[in-house]
Amino acid sequence: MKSREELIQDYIDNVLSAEDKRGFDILYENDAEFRAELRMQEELTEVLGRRLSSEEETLRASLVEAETTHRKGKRISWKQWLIPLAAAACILIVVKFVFFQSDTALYELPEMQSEVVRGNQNNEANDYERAVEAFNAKDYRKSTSILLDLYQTDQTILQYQFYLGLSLIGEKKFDQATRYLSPLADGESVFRQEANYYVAVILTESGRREEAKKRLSDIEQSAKIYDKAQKLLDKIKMEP
Amino acid sequence: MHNDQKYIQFLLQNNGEGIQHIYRQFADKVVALICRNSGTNDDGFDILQESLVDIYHMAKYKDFQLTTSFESFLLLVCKRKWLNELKKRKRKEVTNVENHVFDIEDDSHTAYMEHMVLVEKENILMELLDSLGERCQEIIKRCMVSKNQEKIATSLGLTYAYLRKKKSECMAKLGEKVRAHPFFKSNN
Repeated sequence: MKSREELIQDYIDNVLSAEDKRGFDILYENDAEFRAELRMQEELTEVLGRRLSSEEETLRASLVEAETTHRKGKRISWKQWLIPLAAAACILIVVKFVFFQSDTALYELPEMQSEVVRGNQNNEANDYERAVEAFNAKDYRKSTSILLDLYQTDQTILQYQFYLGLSLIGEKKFDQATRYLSPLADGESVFRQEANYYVAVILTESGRREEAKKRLSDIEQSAKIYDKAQKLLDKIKMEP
Repeated sequence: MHNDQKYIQFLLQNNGEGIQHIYRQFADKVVALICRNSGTNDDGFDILQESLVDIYHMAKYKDFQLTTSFESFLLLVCKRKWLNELKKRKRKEVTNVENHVFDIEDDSHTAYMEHMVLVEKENILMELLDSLGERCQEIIKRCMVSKNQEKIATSLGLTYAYLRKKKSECMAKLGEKVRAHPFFKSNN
């Protein structure tokens, strides 16, 4: 004979045998406490199932990362600077992190043009102008923040997407930058050629030279970025 | 839909850049609020993280819609969480508490209340689960995320019948803990 608890769990999990079902029904009809316990166990199962199947842990990892980044950007004493500085120096030497070092001009981000874009709300235009100001002052953290907001507000304005990608390059967040620039580079918009160039820059930086070469070769001769693309292409070809 | 609903989406989609954006926009305000109310910087960041997880669960469970700015809502959740934490720490005398969040957003506070109480209830349940013995926790956690209990039994080196018996015992134990918890006593 199964216990009350077992009958409840078998019922919830839908594995109650015909014989146990009779015992369960008798208890259910005659015992208010049993019914209350069943209700509670059903509720517990629903909440636990939902909570344990959620992506909470993944979210927490992102929150911890964001917190670390945020706190690092704040008050850091000179002692705390030493370790990251030493680590950064090692990375610079060992991993050949040459972005923005040699051939700086090839990696330089363009100036963000101040202009009123499609989207006729004044706030939006003001935000865009603030992004222009921050971007051109190389305060990429700020420009990313504003552009992300603008992009989320209207994802059809590709100008936001383009400069958001560039701003993320400015922050050296290359993976995220790729996410915004690749669709433009593979698309048909006016940003196609330049997006292709900056995706190629990221690829070069990641050591994916063949893919970078392919991207650069695809840039049309009539494009404003063509000369720069050729120079970068030559540079890649010359590297051992 | 409120314009700030995008912040909720950042959490639901675990959008890394969006979450960084949330921290840039709101972290300092939350930390300042906690620091003004007997907390430290670390407390502030802990409360912010826990509150964002709570908001994620609120939004995931039901079709949650913001009726105020995200900032007001976040500060409201953080404040409530911090007050609960202070109660836990038995430091009930809170000085200089900022009430503007409640004062200004009084109606929305009521609207949000149901969501906040629900998520608190669920958080307590998860804490109670963690207070069970390791074996019970393992059995419950595995049985809740997979329906194939025969496979679970094999991987735990148990017979299926024994797993069923243990699961019912563990769930009953959890039920007892829930019934005995002051939160559930006072909310029943």
